[in-house]
Amino acid sequence: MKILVTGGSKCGKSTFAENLAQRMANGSPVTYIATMQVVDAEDLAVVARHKKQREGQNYQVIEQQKNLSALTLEKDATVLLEDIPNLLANEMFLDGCPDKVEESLMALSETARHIVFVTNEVGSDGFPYDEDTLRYLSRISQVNRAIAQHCEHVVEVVCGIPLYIKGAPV
Amino acid sequence: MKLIIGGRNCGQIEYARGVMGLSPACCSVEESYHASCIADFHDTLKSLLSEGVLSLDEYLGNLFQKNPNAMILCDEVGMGIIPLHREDRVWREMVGRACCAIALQADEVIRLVCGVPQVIKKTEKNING
Repeated sequence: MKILVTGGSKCGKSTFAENLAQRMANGSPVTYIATMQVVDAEDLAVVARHKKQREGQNYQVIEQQKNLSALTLEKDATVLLEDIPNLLANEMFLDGCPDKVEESLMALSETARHIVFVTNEVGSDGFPYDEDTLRYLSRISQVNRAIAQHCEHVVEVVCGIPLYIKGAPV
Repeated sequence: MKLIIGGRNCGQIEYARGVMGLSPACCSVEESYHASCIADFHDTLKSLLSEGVLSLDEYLGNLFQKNPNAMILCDEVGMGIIPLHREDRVWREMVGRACCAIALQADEVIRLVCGVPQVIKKTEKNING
């Protein structure tokens, strides 16, 4: 099963996606692909908070900031990828392959038994950004749309409440 | 407790006033403990942050205890690019976390889009206690 989980900042989407992936893995470890590049104390705090959230749960963590095609998953893996905006930013701004993000995400999903992608709603503040940021915003929207089309289920999490905007509740 | 959320000016106040018959008012931290309908709750959280006295958890604990039947109106503010300034990032995350905690506590959560309400959570109260 392929599921895309979206939502704004701190809306509860990680917690929802983690619970969902654990449920789908049904006792087997969840392959957690962490894409965030840690650069400062604030990032470290985010990582620490996520680690604490995952404490006591069954995860195999892979830190992969870009180039998902280098990964080989174990057979029948349930994958949780967190998150698409970070992956895209790394591919765009750290000399990666930003044009191949959709392709790499879809290829990954084909080798997994179940996959939960986490993304972020970033296009609703109406702020007149610089050209680079606008290019990034535009690419996130493209990737989100492509992955939403690719997935059987799309869930928007609002205040911790899942709203299924594509497919039946899982 | 009820929570009404949505983007800026999407009709939270009009809904609380027109449909629920309430008088929404902007509140300081202290006022929020007594108001029946708290408007612009994201601004109350900004006051909480600038006062720097209570943590979010401490404040929410007080709010749930002192004002358990409050109707809370709040903007959704987390759907943009991560803000440049640290205090904006802290506030934005605080609003997100607060709304998750309130939604968990609330018997009803309504989200407004273009003034149209969507009930995204509703728990039937047990009238027999």
